[in-house]
Amino acid sequence: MWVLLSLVLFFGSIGSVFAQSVGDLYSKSVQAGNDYRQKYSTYQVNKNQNIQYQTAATRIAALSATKDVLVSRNSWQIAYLTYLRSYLAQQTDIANYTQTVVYLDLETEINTLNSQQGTLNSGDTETDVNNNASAWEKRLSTSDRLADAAILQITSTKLADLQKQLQTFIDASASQDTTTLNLIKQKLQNSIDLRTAVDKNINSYKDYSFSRNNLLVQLTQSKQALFEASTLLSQLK
Amino acid sequence: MRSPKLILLLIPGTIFLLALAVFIAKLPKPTPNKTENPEVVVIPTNTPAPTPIGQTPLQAFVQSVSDLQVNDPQLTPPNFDRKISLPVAK
Repeated sequence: MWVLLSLVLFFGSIGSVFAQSVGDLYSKSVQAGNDYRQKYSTYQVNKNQNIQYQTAATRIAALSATKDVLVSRNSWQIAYLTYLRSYLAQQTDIANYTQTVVYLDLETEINTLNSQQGTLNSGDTETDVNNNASAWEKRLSTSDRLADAAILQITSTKLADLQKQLQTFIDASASQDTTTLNLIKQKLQNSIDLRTAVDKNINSYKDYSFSRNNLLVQLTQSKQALFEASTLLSQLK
Repeated sequence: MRSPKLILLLIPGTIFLLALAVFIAKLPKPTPNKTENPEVVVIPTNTPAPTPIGQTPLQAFVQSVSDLQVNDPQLTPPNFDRKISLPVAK
């Protein structure tokens, strides 16, 4: 009895840890997308058949296929956000306030979407099913903004790591060319300023003024400044 | 009789902690499985550029900055139909 219990606990714990790896979650997200595409294809066929024939059988099939695709779409979004949350946790520092806020919001969003699976799979009429779909779609903008914030946070953290590395290379440089070294430091500071400006805006992702594209442009400029600085340093005599 | 029971719990527990430590140390980068199904959409992966032999750490660093993708395709959101509905029966 004790041996059995120990083994179950042991393998159960190992399984749960490995199931949470980012690679696994990415695969699950890709698989959820494939499942959605299959369900979407069936939904389109059944919907068109019902439009054409309008029998009781085609109506039931169309309703069923629509509920299936709604559940599948929700599952894909859940799988994607779960992957994103795991990637964010792996990439960034848990003590970072901004990262923690986005992480917790992702958790809340995933739980909310999970709680909707039953509703999306219910409804006996077209109106019921359409209402359920519409209610879910109205929440999408919130979900999109949250995903944008997580993506920006991940990219910003990668940039921050590279900026720290460049600072270490600069500190270790024995070059006497102070003019170029100062230019490199200036470019690095420019890169850091652009990246920290993005960090300050990430938490305001719920505001209408939040613009993913603008922040992505800033991160691209930050990367470019960092690249120029590191290239200059690598050419320094 | 308690000692054998305690050992039975402690041994798997220790093994688990060791496995967990190894797992965390070797935490893999996201690498999606390839599939043979032609209809399956596989999002491209980030494969780091190979480091040529003789490259200095600084040159390798410059390459890693160059390789950084601000718009990482592995983070692309799902591209599902955002408006699904059925025509209401009359």
